[in-house]
Amino acid sequence: MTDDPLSNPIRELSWRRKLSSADQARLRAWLADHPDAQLDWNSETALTKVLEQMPEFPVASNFTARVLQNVEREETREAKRASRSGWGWLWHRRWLPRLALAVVVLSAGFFAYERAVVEPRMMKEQDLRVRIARAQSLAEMPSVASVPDVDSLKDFDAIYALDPTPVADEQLVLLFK
Amino acid sequence: MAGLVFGKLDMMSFEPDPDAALMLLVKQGDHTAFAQLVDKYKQPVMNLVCRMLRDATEAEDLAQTVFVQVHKSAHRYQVSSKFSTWLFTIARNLSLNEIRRRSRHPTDSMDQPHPEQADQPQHQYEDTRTFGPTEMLLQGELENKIEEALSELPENQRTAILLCRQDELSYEDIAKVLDCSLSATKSLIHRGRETLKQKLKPYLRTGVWKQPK
Repeated sequence: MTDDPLSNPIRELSWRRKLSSADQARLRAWLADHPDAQLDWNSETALTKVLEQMPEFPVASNFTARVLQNVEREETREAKRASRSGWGWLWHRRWLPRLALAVVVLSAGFFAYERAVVEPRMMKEQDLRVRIARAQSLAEMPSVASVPDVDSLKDFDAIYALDPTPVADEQLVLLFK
Repeated sequence: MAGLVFGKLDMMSFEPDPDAALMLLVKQGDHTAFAQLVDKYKQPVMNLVCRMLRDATEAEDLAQTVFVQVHKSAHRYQVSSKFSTWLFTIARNLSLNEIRRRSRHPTDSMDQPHPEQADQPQHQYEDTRTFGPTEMLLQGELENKIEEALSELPENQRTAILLCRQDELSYEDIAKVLDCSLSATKSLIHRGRETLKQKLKPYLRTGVWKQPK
């Protein structure tokens, strides 16, 4: 593209519409000053006309009717999709038996899992808790029942050998009488 | 209803775009308004898609998809943006997706009827062009050359040039569809046109294009 400030805007105008008489006069004056651009301008004009005359592709006579038919089909599909997004679709005759079966299968699976895995694990944990409690109580025993010092027990045997039953002082009893 | 919509648009200080008003009605579920938009834009969408895919049957299916997509996305349409810009952006994106899909699965064809579309009526075309035998020959040759030259352009240059033919799209609108700047858009059009001028040079000189339609 030439950088001429006059020809470029006119050129761009000519791509879109027929030039006004004022534009044509400006162009003629510009071409008079730039005769070497005349050939290029001629082919420019010719190309614009060629592009204008390009044939239109045939459109089917029922084109609009088919578009509307497709739109209606699309709307119906959308409406179905929207109704499925709510809970209403669950009660559809086609889906209810499948849903019931799915609920039964899932419930059975859940209970089987409970019995096979969860219950034994809970019993095991209960047993472990009891064992831990016992171990903890045994560990606490020495601190509860304190044993006397060994030195205080050195006369234990002698004391143990004494007659535990106290003997009555018969002479004192007589004196009292 | 349409008056109310136009009033709302005026209050929002937008130019009263009749397509935007129709789109507001489409948002409210008005199928007649949607049919009006389809009728107005089916030809330019078909032209664009056909020249991007280079397959009339596939193009028709894709053009249908474009309008279904427009209806599906109507709730996302912002009145502040021009309807035609939004429409052609969807058309371009879907065409690019189809081109990518084709390149991944070259043997797949959209010609095979989808099971869900089995009840749809067959395509019905009508040819409105009338040429004499000689005119038809010359015109046909030139048309083939143009289509060939266009198809050889890079996608963004081709789309820019094709959108440039749409009167209702400004350069800014074309830039939005192509997701690039205004200067980049003009540059794409210029480069594309330069390539076309080179390829069609003999035809442009002889003036075959001056043949009456």
